[in-house]
Amino acid sequence: MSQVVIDDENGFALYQPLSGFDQYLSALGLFGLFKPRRKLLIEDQAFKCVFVLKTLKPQYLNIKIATDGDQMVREAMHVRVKYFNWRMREIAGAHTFTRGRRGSRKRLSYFFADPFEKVKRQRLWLKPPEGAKFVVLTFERGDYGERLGFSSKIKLKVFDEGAGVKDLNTAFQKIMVSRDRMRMTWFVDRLKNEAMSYYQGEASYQGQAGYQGQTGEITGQQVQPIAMAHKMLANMVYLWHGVEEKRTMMVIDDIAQIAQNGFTLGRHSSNQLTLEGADHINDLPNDMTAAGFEYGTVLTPTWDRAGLMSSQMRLEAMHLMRAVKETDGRKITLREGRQFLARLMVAVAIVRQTGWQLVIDVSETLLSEHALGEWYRWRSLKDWLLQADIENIIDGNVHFLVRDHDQKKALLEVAGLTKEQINIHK
Amino acid sequence: MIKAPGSIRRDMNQIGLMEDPRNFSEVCIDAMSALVSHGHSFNDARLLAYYPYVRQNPYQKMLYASAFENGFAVTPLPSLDAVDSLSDRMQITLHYHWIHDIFKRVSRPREAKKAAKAFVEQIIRQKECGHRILWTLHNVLSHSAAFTEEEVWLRQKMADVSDVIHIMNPDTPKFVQTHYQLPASKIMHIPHPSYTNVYGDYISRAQARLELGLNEDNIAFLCFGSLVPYKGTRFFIQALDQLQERFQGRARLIIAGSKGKADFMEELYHIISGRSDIILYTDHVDDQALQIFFRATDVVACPYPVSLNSGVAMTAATFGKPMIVPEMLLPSFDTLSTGAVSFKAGNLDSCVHAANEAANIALCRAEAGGCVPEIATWAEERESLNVSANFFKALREFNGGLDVANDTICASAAINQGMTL
Repeated sequence: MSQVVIDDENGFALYQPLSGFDQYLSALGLFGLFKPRRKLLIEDQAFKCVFVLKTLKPQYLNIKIATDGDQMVREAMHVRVKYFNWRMREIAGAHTFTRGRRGSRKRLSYFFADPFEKVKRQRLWLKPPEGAKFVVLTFERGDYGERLGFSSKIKLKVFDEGAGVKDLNTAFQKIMVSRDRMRMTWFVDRLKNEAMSYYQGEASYQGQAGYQGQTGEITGQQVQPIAMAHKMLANMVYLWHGVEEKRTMMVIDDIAQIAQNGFTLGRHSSNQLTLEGADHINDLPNDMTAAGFEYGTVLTPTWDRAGLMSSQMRLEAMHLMRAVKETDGRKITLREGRQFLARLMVAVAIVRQTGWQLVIDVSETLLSEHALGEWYRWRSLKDWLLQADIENIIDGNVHFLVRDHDQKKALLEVAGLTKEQINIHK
Repeated sequence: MIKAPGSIRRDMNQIGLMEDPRNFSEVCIDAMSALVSHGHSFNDARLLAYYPYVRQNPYQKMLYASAFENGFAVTPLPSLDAVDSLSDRMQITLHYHWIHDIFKRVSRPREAKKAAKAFVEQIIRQKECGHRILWTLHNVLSHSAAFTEEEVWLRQKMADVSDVIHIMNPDTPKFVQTHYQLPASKIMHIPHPSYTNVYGDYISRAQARLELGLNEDNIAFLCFGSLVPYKGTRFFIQALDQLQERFQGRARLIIAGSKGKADFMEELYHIISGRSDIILYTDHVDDQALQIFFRATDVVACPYPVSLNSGVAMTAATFGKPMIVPEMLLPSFDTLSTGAVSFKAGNLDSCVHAANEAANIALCRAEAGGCVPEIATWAEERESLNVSANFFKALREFNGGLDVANDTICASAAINQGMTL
């Protein structure tokens, strides 16, 4: 193809179509070998480059894509990434680190095109799998409606993990506008760790994730990491329509809702039991002196901390219901163990609907820290009780078991609890 | 050789799969023969051609469902001038629906004016040739009216020229009178049919909710239909914030429909990208998939700023779901004792209040399958075959020049009194 220079007033003249020699090099996977800095007018055919991988560390390629339209174009171009071993055999199923939208398209990385005057840098990320010696990148246009110009220095750069902004707020502001999905993903992971290093309800944080915060702007300097993560994920959902990010956002909102409103089993929370066992409640003996069910661990076989908490708690409630039924009692004794807070909420929800007895043994848990899912943590059970709308969730059927008078005194600070509801271990 | 039935052939023709070798005149002759073969006398047999033909919306098929039983053969009018090819002795009823379609290919008011004038002249010519003009008034003005002045003029002329004006909302004359007048003597009121036996309806509520990722404790609201600015979707998202307070974060909004224009879609994505309480489905929902959305939902929201009639609201009724509708849509549901809750258009508090009330109806009155029996029964009475029969009976009275006691033939009243006219 001849080197046609496009005469255009908006600067597209700088972009040239692939020459015959370029196409020949591309067929060999050697595009960019002799002239790495390129400004190309993207036509229908794809072009290919092969890189030798000197390291298995994360690497990236900076690219810019311009359009002569006046709006940003989604998925204007995509890049297919394939890794090969030293025998040039493809490494199947390699996680490319350049996550696509879903399923079979995972090996594709998508890029935006910006109006010519506002072109911004984007990054194609690579994380070579074990044994990878070569990577083949195939660049192809995804949008056929607009004219596209591609510019890049076709050379892989190794990511320096030590570099970058350290301050959380500054990093947040910077990454939010980067359109770099991988850096955003890393940042959300960082925010998760940050969120778990703080306790809910402590004074140094503002904001509350959840449905009330979903549309709010983050403008303050000191914002709760959860709210930051929510905002970042929302941006990612908007930019890439990302399913994984939407899912993470759902998990955060789900826990926020439980933390804020408590856990209920059905939408007619006060008078309807919708789970297995509801039909058999009246069959159970009315013996309150019976030992009841010792609830010391999660009954659900696989409990995923990163999963939707409300769904798992609902399943846990079904298991608990069945377990209590098998003991022929109407009493649950909640003991220390995995997912204490989640189990407590499940047990309370069941007791509220069935009228059974619940004894919560807090002798080992009252002052220890408790997490709910991967994002929420309380300094102690007492803190959670102080924050929770206790009068609304705990009634006369619930009793606490404490170790000594000090614990009893501490527990009595929780409004709504009476002396009669708190017993000391004998 | 196996031949496809006529209606299927026409449909296939419309979607370009098969070319109908007959011209419009031949189709009309075949239609007359079919009517006579069906047992109607030649004098009683009537032809009705409708324009424009809308493939994705089953409304026309529903309205004409009992045509043959009532002595009418119905066929789409392939183009406005197709009638010119008919012989002078063949006079038919020309049924016009969404007449603003003539503005589709114009971009300037001057062109719109010209198009409107040409259209009216054509209608007058058709009338002079002895054809009857029937006009169904679907909206006050088209939803995205770009040439308001021209459209108002067109509608007034159409009202003047038409022999019969079919309305579905009994208060239509009142709502349109600020723009144009409808002669009372021409008005025929036949309500919008329900979608009973039209859409697939065999999936359980539990299965539908599972497919959409809704838990039992979620209160699900549905905004259904093509994603365009005038459907009030953005408005209802604002209402959702307040509803979440009422439902302690358990409310969910399902937005389902074909993608609209790119800039509106971009705006919508921007609004809802941070919301995990909104489920967005941006594709055409076919007749079998529709049940998933309506079965799964608790309340159907029609948060439209202006709406005379609504297929979505009738679909909600068909599935026995409470709905929120703007005040001007409520007269269409005046015989429904419970389930249609109205709000003041554009008033957020009123919308939240209505949504809350509709949700209470769903929570208190719905059976295990999520259906409110009173609403479903009401919709069954408006099944398309019944409404269609009333439509053709009423039309025959107008066509036959029979004395009409009242200015308005109120078929809706007849429906409530045992489906007889």
